[in-house]
Amino acid sequence: MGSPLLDSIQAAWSLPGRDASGAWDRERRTGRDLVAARGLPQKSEEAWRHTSLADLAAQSFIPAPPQAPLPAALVDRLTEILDAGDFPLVFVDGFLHLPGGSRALPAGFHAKDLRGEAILPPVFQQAPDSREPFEAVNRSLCDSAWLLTVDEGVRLEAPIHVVNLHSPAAAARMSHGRLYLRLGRGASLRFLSSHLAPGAGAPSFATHAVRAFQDTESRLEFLHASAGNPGHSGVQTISVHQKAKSFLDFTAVCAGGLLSRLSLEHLLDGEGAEARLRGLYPLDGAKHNDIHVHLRHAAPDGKSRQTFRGVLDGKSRAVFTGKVTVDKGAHGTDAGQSNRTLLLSPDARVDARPQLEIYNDDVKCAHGATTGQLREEELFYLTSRGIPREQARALLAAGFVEDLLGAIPEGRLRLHARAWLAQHGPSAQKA
Amino acid sequence: MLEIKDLHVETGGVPILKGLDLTVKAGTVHAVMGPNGSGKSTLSKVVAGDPEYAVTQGTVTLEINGRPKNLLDMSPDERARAGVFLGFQYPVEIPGISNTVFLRTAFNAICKAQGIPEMDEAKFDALLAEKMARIGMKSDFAGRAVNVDFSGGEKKRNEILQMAVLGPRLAFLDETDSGLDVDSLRSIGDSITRLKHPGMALVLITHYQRLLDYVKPDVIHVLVQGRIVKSGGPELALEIEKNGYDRILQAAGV
Repeated sequence: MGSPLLDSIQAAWSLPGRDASGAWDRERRTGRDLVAARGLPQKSEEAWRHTSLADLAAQSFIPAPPQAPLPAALVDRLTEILDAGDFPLVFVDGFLHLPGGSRALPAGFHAKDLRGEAILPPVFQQAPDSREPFEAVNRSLCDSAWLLTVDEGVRLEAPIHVVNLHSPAAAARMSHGRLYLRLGRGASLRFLSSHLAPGAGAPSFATHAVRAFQDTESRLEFLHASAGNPGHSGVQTISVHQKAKSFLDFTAVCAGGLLSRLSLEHLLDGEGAEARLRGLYPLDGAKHNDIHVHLRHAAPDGKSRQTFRGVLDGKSRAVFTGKVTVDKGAHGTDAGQSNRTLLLSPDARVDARPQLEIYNDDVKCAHGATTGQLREEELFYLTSRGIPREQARALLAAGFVEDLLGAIPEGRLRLHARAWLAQHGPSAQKA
Repeated sequence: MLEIKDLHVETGGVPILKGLDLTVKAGTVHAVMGPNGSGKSTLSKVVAGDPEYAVTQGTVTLEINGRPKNLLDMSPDERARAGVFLGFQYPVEIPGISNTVFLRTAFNAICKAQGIPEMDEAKFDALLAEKMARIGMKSDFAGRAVNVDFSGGEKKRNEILQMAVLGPRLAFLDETDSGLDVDSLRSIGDSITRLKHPGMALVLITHYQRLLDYVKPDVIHVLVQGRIVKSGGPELALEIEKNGYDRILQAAGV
């Protein structure tokens, strides 16, 4: 099925001046084959039933060119986002930007442009390709693709902070950044990934993909934060492939956009791997956010916990799909998922769908999704102490969010999540 | 200070209070006793303004700044800012909001209504720490989410902390003594007694005499089937403790 968006993507494939070499080129070719075979998602596809692509598909975009120097407005944004203790890797419209020259990388950490690499490390081919159609679009067009590695046994203290900015000048532009993240055996990393499209709301489109591989006994603490202006469509895919006894603590903080979609694909592929996922989508106005999780237990004694919460005001719209698959051989799996959405306005809407697929008897699986309004009992308790009703509502909504943010174990990640929502979340949460 | 006349209340279409009269003067302690289901909790919730209860008849008048005002015309938060306090029988858990933020927000809402400057965070933290020490609460309760993972006794103590911080003129304490062990009961009872002052009226809702050993009442009321059927001095509570409600019910013809 043709569409202006698909035409834009195909036109970008044949643009001149994009040198082709090595691992990067092979990735792009594979992406093209996948897009050519699958096309863009159709409304009839279950995974896209509640998020309409019609508006996005009707638009044309051209690839955003590299920006140098960085516009002043974006420099200010960077200052807000980055903490002095972060090790920053800044991408503007998909291209690596080196502010004031590059700092020496922390010992045991490597960042390589895939353009200079002959091959992609084979560990990234062990997990199946992403099922997210826009991941293939990203792969086919990635303006840059970087490989980040933490060496075996290296425990990085300083958080690595990847910032992805979509420059406000880039109306009707699209960008596609891609990262491969590899943690060696016993390595540990704190990783922040921030996506921001500031501006008044001219149409723009960005995809981003992270493919992470966690070797045995590695530990990853990962915060994903996104916010788009009212004209921005952003689709991000994060795939994490975990080996035995590895540990993942992941949090997504999504402030939405015109269209905002986060696809999470988790494969627990080694004995005793553990994944803790949490996500927040506080929205207002006409913002949209769609979180799609597929977590698969493919090995014995894995443990997973998922906690996703939304707070919807105005005419905002959220979609949550959480699927857990337990493979035949995954004995002793312990999986839990909960999704709660608070509706603050009669015009807000959420479509929530938890799914379990279990091919094994010896498992513990719990899941549940609830949607509701603030509890009258809680409102009465607060107002009975003298707090005006509107203020009590805002306080309860903020508490619902903070209850989840407060559970982020790592300090810098927790602070960034709070700051992100204070900056980009609905005004109710700014109080 | 408080005058309730011919109060009729229902919830979910079921009448609970059926013509209740109660007058409470400033500086006095009243205890409302009565069998289960007689309407004791309903009385306290109606005074605080719980929207679950509908008043079908009667008046609840509180003297505010020397003038009588109909509480029933006021929202729960307006009542609280005018000095009404309810110590909940089942305090509500509020995840994600610390005791400090909750109480500072309430305290400043009351300041604002009274035209007093609001208190900044540092000053309020000091005030809260002082009140907590007096009530015998450990300092880490300040940063913990309101009532979340508190034991039954800690929740009740937290209600008394709120009363201490907000300084009400009229407080209804709904079964503050239930679920407390002997030591907690004594400590909470003593805290309540220390919070009393001549400008304040206190109404204790209780099943048992035991709280009244620590907070001495001036007047005891017996509430049965939605009406106060007997009032008397402290000896009435002792009589109930000894003989139960049967004799009083017979004498009152209910």
